[in-house]
Amino acid sequence: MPFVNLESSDGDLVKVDVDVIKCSVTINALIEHLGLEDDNEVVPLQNVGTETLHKVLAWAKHHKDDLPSVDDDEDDPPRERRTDITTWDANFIKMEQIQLFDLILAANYLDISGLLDLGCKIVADMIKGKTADEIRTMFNIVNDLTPQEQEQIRKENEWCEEK
Amino acid sequence: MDKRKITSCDMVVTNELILRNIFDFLPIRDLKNVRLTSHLWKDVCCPIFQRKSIVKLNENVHLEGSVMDNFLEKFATIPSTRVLFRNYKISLFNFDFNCDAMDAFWEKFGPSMESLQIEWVRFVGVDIVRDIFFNLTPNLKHLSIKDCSFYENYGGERPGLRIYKQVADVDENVPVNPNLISMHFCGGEKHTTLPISWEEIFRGFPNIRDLSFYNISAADTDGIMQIAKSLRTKNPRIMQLEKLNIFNGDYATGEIVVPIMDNLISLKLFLRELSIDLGATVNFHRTSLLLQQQRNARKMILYRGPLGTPMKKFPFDIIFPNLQYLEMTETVADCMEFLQFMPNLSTLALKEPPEVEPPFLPIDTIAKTDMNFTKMPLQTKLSTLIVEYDISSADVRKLVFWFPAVVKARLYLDNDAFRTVCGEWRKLEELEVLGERLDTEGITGIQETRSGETPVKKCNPINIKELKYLRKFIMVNYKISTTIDDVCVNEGFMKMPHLNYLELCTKHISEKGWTKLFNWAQLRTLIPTDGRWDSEVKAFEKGCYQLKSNRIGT
Repeated sequence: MPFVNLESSDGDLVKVDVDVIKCSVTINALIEHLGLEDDNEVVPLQNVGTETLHKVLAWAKHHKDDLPSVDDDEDDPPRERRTDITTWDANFIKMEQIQLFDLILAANYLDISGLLDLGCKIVADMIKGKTADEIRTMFNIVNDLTPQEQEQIRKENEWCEEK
Repeated sequence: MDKRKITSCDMVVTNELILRNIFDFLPIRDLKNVRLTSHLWKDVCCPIFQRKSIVKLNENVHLEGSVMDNFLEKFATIPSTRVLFRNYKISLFNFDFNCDAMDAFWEKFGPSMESLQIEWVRFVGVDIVRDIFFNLTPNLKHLSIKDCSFYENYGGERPGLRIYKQVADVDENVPVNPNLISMHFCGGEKHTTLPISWEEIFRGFPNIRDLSFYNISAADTDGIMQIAKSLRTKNPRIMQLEKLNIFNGDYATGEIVVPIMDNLISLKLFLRELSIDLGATVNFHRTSLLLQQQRNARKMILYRGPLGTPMKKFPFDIIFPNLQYLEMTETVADCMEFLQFMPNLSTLALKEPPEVEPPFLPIDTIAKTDMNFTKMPLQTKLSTLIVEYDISSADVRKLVFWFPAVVKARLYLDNDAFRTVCGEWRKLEELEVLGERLDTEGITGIQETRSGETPVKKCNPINIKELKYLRKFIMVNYKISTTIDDVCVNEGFMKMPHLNYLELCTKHISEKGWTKLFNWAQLRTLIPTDGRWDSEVKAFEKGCYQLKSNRIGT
């Protein structure tokens, strides 16, 4: 089956090369679970809008020939995760914040680790250098920590350094 | 009740899986603020924070009171069952100085330790070391001991100055810690010997997969190898090492000698990563045997060999199908043909020790290799190339031809070689230029000449825009100033379409030039130095340029 039809939450159908979307663990599982065999069958994606789906596919198409990364042992000391972004990805990810969050949710739902990492790196960049107050304001988060809890956290923070 | 519509932002910042992924990309500095944001963020952040952070307890004799006492006092009310930290580095302690604090510390925090580094610790009694190894840290996964001295007694009385030199009696029923998977031991002073036999270590930690010996004598290394051989003969299931590092970097004690090599070969280990100082005394035959045994390794770091002896060829009959990373330090080949036998190599690093400056290539490895040496497909998988030798433009042309898919490079380049690289490595994303032969003309394509007294700018055919993918440029020249100047800022870097990381050492860029770079929105990181002990650029003193990387996303 070289192609699959993906149906967005807006009801639009997008035909895509299976080879392109193989990066999505969710879609692979759905194809297998639904027993799809011909090119006309449809995979419903209830959590992904059309605009976001097109973005996901653009990313997947560009990265379809990427080699899988060499995995370190999970028991090994964690290797510093790469925070840099390739030029193509940097251009791709230039979008409004709301689109960025939609893309992250889609990458999470479709289980595309490379795309999820890219979105998360951008959000991590947004957090860098901000105080807790600034972070809460940026993401509209309610502070539910008591002053005593905050004091305890500060005390622990004091002793910790970068590994 | 809050009737605000739930946005995709709300969904992202409350999704634990996504939050974990985001926090994984943050350094400790920012995770400290993340922990103060909300209960959810603190809880999600907790395992990442504990994994990435380390508690460093460095005794400071100039301070009143003990760091250890202070640490214990801060967390006195926290029950020992609650895990606060997982990684510890303890240094400069005199273990005999405060025995009560020591006992309390290990009893309270030992069980939660996952990684422990002990270095430059003196007056360590045998008893407590054995306890730390086998009783007080049952969940330890990673243990590193560097340059410590061990003494014969420990207890209420000062142990005196009798340095522990005997190998302990072997306790065959030593407690087993199956969690410990990596152990790094770095000897320091000559008398440093662990007060625990290696037999006990191999028995007590049967699941060690990553083992490193640094800076210990050949005799000690040989002893360890013999014990390992004896234990493996009785029980082949112990010491299933995946990573082995026998790398001393010291001519006096470092290199592998023939008996060690023979024992190593007879261990029949099948390593994923091998880092080894082969030295010049091990012959070619033994080297071949060892490498043949390790032909499925994914990463190799070879120091002083196997090509250390001039004209010795790499064992060409060995194919390394899985090798992805090859680093050869102080190692030279008489040609590059060995690359034919590493079809999946993604990183090649030919290095000199950092203290060697300027480096030189004793044998002209690249020049002696025929441009068309390989009948196999070109090394299209090689994406990272590091050559820390001052090679010629002609050499660079060959490298460019052999490895067309390079995205990261660290090379000596002059103007001509830089042009070659820019023109041919179209996917180059990260470039570190070594040396000082690349100048403003090479980078900008603008040649400034003097005709009479009036400077004339001539454009040569280089087009900086050819560097379509370059996002990281480094030229620090071992912290000696390069000749990069303001012209290079305006006509070079600022015309590179995707440059976002710049690290330079030059005294020829003015304050105005640095400020311009700092204010350039495209640049995410700027790390400037000018090679002077006391920098003349005022902004450096304030450290304001270095802060640029913190402003991402603001």
